[in-house]
Amino acid sequence: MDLNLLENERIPGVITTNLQQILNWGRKNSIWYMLFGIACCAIEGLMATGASRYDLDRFGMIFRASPRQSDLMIVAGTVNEKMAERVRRLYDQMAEPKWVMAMGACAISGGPYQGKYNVVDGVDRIIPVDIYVPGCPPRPETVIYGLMKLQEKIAREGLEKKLQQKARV
Amino acid sequence: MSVEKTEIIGLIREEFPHLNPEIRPQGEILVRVEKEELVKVARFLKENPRLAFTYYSFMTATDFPDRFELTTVVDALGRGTRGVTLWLKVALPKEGAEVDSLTGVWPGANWYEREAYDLFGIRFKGHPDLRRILLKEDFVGHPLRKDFVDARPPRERLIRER
Repeated sequence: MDLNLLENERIPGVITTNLQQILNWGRKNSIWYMLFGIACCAIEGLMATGASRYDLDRFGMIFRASPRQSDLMIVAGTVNEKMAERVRRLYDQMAEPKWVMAMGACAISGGPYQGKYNVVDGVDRIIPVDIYVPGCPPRPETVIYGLMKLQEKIAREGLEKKLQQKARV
Repeated sequence: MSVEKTEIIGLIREEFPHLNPEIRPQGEILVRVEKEELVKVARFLKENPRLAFTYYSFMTATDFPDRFELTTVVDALGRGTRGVTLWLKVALPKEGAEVDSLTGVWPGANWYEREAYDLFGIRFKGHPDLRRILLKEDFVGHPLRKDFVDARPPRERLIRER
C-alpha cells in the first residue's frame, strides 16, 4: 500500500501515517457500489463484473441495495428523460463522499441514441461524473480497469479537494 | 395438441360467421376484427372453455399511411389448445383513433394500452388509468407516429476537443 507508512523507531509494531492517507486508503478499498442498472450495460458492469468470474469482492467492493449505504454509482445504460429525475434523486440520497462512473457510450454521451426524443445526452448533464468507461458495452476487464483508476483517483484525493468538487456541483 | 388450429378457426367462425381467420406462415392464427366488436370477440376467445385464450402476451401498434393497426397477441392455456398463439388485429383511423379497452377482459392489457397511448396517441375507452407510461407527463406529442416532430430545440452534438 502506498501509505507512506513510517515505522515507529521507539515502539516496535507501531506505524504512523496521516489522517488523509488513512482515510483515502479505507475509502478506496471499500467502494460499495449501488445496485442500480438502467440498461444492458448493467449486465456487463454489475452482474458479470460483480459475479464470481471477475469478482469485484476482491477489491472490497460489494453492492448495496440502498443509495444511503453506497459510495459509488455506476450509471450503466441510457438515461432517458423520465429516468433522469430518478437518477438525480438517487445521487442526492447518497452520502458523501460519493463517486460516479459513467459506464458505456450511452451514459457518457447518449451513444447511439444521442439527440433522440427521450434521451439525455450523457449522464454528466445531470450529475458530476468522476470516471468515464467507454465501450458498448465495456467488457468486465474494462470496468475493473476503470475502477482501479478510480481507486487511484481516490488515493490522490485530499479532504479539501472533495469539498471543492462538491462546491462545483 | 389435441385441438387442431382448423378446429379453433371453426369454433370462431361458428360464433362469428363474418370473420375470416387465417393461419400465418409461422403457425399463429390471425383474426382481423372491426373495432366495434373487438371486446366481444376477445371475451369469446377468453371465456369459451374449448379455446381458453387466457394469457395476454402483448399488444403493439403500427402506424401505416392510412391507418393505425393494433395487434394483440394472446396465447391459449386451455386443455388441448395449450401453446396456440392468436393475433387479433384491428384497424383504426388516423384521426382520433379510439378503441374499447381490453383491460376488462385481460387485466394484463393495462400497461400495453398505456404504452400505445403514450407512443401513438391511441385512446382506450374504459381504461382505468390512461396516463403516459414511458415518457414524462409533460411530453408533447406521440413519438412513434411517423409524423412526429421533436418540438424541443436541437441540441448540439457533444464532440470533445482532443
